[in-house]
Amino acid sequence: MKKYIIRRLILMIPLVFGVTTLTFALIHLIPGDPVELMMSNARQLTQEEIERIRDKLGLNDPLPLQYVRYLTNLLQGDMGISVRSRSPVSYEIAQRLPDTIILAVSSIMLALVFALPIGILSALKRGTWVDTAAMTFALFGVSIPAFWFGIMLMLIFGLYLDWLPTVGQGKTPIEFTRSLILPSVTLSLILLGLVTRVARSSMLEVLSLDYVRTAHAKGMGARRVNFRHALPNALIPILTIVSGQFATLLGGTVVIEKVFGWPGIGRLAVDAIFARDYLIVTNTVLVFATMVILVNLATDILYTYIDPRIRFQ
Amino acid sequence: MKFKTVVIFAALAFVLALSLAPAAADGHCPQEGGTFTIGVDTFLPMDPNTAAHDWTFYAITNINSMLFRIESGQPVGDLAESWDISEDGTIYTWHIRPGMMWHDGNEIFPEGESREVTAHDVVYSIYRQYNDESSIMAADLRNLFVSAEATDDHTVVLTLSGPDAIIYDKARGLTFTAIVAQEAIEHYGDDYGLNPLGSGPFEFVSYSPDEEVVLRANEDYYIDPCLDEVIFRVMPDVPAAMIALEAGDIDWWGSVTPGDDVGRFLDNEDMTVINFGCPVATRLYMSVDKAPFDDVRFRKALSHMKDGEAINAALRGPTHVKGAGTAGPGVAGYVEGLYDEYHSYDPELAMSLLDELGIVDSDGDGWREMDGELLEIPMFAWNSDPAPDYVAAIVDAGAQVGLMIRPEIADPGTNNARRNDGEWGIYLGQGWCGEGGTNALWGRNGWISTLGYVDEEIFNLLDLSAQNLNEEEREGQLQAATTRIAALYFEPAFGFFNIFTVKNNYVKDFFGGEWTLNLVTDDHNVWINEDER
Amino acid sequence: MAENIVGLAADAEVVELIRPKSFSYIAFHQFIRNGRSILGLSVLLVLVLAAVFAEEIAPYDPYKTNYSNVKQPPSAEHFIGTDELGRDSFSRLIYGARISLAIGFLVSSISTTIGVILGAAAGYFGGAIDMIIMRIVDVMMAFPLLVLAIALVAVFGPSQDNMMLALICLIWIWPARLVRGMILSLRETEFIVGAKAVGATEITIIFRHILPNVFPIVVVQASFLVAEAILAAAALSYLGLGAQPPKAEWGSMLSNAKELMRILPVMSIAPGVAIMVTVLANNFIGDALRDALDPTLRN
Repeated sequence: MKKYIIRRLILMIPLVFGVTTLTFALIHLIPGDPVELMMSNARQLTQEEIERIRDKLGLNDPLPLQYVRYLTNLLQGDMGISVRSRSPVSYEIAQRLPDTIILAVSSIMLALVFALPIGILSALKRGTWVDTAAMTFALFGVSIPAFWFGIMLMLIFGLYLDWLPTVGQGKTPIEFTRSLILPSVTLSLILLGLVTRVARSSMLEVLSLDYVRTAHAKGMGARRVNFRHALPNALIPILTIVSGQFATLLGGTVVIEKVFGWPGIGRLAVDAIFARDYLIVTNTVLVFATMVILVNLATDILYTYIDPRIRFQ
Repeated sequence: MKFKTVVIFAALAFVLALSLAPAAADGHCPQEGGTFTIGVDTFLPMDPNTAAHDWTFYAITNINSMLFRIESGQPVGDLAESWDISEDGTIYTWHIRPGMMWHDGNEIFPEGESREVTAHDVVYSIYRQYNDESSIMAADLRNLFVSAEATDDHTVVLTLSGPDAIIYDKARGLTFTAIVAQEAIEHYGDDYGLNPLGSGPFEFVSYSPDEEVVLRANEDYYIDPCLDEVIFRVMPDVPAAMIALEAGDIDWWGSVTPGDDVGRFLDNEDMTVINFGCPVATRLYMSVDKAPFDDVRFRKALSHMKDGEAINAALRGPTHVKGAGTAGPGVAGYVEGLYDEYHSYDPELAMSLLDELGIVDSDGDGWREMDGELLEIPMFAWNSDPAPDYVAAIVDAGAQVGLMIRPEIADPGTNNARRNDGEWGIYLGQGWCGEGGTNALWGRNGWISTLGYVDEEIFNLLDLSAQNLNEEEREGQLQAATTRIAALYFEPAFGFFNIFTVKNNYVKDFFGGEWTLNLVTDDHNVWINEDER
Repeated sequence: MAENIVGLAADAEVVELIRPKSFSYIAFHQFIRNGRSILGLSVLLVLVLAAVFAEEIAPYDPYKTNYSNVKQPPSAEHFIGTDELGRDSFSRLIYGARISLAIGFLVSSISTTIGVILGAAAGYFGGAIDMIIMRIVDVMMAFPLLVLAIALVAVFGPSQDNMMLALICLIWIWPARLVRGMILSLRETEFIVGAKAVGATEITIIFRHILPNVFPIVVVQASFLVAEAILAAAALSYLGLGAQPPKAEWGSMLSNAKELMRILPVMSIAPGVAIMVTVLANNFIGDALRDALDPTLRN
């Protein structure tokens, strides 16, 4: 087990390296100048000023040199300086990472809380109107553009009903939770439909297995069979889906955080792409990728506890 | 008759009461305490050396003292109580207000252990900005700067190598030099912007990136602020911010308000719409050094083929202002009547000009050709509202006269890069307001010089005006430049739009942001009427 | 007994009844029996018709501006009002079907084709080819999709074609992974081993034996990818990176409508509903296809 984890962690290194290099190359391929983009209506920089600032920030150096410098610094734990804010990239990311994790985890929770019972119920009531309604609901879930859904929620709950704050993040625990509701509901939509469907199909599959049939044949109560025997086994595919969708979910934070003004790294990444803040983009993607890979690893390890049949070589 | 008189008197008394109520200049506040929440679209760390951004700068002008502030367009004292300028405009003597203290109760100055802000701090701050080559100190000032000296604890002498008429212009002058404490800079180093320390009316409390900045009243300031707390809340999505403003989640939206929302807020009794007083032009630029744009008749055709005024009115709503030129009404260099003279809607004229140029539809497909080839002109614009709509309008207008225009809309970075490369085509452009803006755009090495807008006479007029301390003469020079630009380049104009900011009515004694954000000055002291909230 | 009847029966109908039904026969019936598939197909048909006959159906020219008639609420002349340039929103909505459907089907079919080829190559040949392709897939899987999409569009320069190109660059990895996985498991099955034993060439094995088995599953996935592509395109257009105005694209119509949300909510609602209906129809079809084509699900 330990060996397996170490091997996976070592395999992670080239992957992360690939992701970082690709991002670094991509973001520098985009035309545009970060210093010029810092300009605002109040402060118009001249070409001369821009050149001076670019020189000072090392943006005029050849690209390979910039990349080597970035890597050397990174190995020493230094992610560099953001062009736009001129503060350490690590600070910018560290400030926002918890917000994104909270948003992602709460939407996973929301999706599970709603989708699991619906999926399982529709499997148990297979072929009835309950099943049809649940599956239609699930399909709606994957068919609605999430950003649009967010705007609609904002319009209804934030403005017309005035129940919840529209944008930003509350300070006190209660306000914080209130401000978390709309973005996490919106984000959970991405998972909701999927989890419902997977819960249903994996439950159906398990229900048709011999041991479940045997349990029924033995005269065990339906409730006991369904929840003691079938459900735990049905959970494995769901876990796979949720962890497999983690990258998608993080990708989803990008737009949702922007719509709701949620101060996370998804929004940071998009803003940084448009601001050509090279190191912010490269490092946020690095953090994103590491998170995705680690979550997948954690899922694999978790399997061994849930399903004793799975063993690592 | 008698009844009417009573009504008039009652109304007069009411107006008088209203106008007296917010007057709190003597430091007396009608209502103490309260939090003023300001919605902003971006916010960055608050180091005056790097903070080029408007709203960040608004926070800085409240945390740090400035030598002077800009109020109703005029410089007024802040840290400098007064100043003298030598006759030739090269030596500024600033008289520092005594008794101004650095904020205390922080890592640098424990409670009650602060020290006075002196002339030496001012000199330190100016040199810190001057010596840092990557600082945003205005190039004009940097180029003219000779020295800054503290002749005593309360006098600073700034020497320039030549006169500078726009030293008070935020974009180009001294207003970006906030006064910082050497102790704080040395203690925090690169992290200073995350822990700013100053001597202004509000103290820095906390900063959460992309979220908010919290400031609290500085009781040691020479005027006691009525507000307890000022919060800058970051709201990147403008429509969402408009909802937040209406719901009272923010008290003031300090950035450009879209035209339709202005219309709505004008009808809303709980809101006040404030004019920033600096109309911004929307117009087209083109690569004037390349054919067919190098021919003035073609530029003229482009200008007359579109109904600029109707387009601007539709897209800017109540913020639309008719006009053309480098500066809008109320801004130095404005020339009246330019729009009607050069940009009126006349598609017939546009078509005859195109015919005259030999740009005609010879194969009968409805589109004009030049030298036997289909003339397909790319139109470059950035991708945020309402720029794409202007493009759509021009594509449609082009189709009416047989000109094929291909939209090329990209994010601002890519769009800037295309302009810097001088790519062939039409560009949607927005002016910058103020004299600094005119210079940055049309001046030597200005933003559109890469497109071939190079005319020595215009450069000279602008250079002269920037050094001319006589306001009347300067206005004349700027107007001459504006007129010459219009006649020479015929840059197709749509009109101007006013920058409106919107506040909730319970925010009192507040007149919106200027180049500096003035919450507590000799003339007014912002307070919140909690009863109305 | 059965042989007897077959031998005797002259009536084709009897044969039909007795003979084991073909896979495609069952699949087709399964598909048709599913009510949602019919609904999905009809909606899609309506959308395709709207796209094809947009000129005839749309009451107005979707690009014709009318500055004296901007931001009108819904009325008898303009079913869902007019936009900020006075263009008829309903007509733009109809023309929008063209773009969304084109994006959905083109992106899905091209990326599926690329994915199938690369996935099959990786799965069948293994070795270095597999290594290279799968490392690329791994790297891309670790990216947050939308961030990569935004960066790619920004590199290519925003336009409808480039947005589709960017989406293809991202989406091919899913069919590739699917096909590779299936081929890896098929390769070891008896019938492939048998085919190899009788001397079938690799090309024959791939095209005659492997792809027909993979095909149904790929079709199911491709139909879901249509939906994915439409949604991703809408999000990119919403961020201002998609189809170029004045083109009527639902995502960019939404981003246009954002500022008018308070005054003309219908401008925000209508394109969103249009996207949802299109995606939903595709998902209905994909769902029904899966039920019909994936034998493992048919219980």
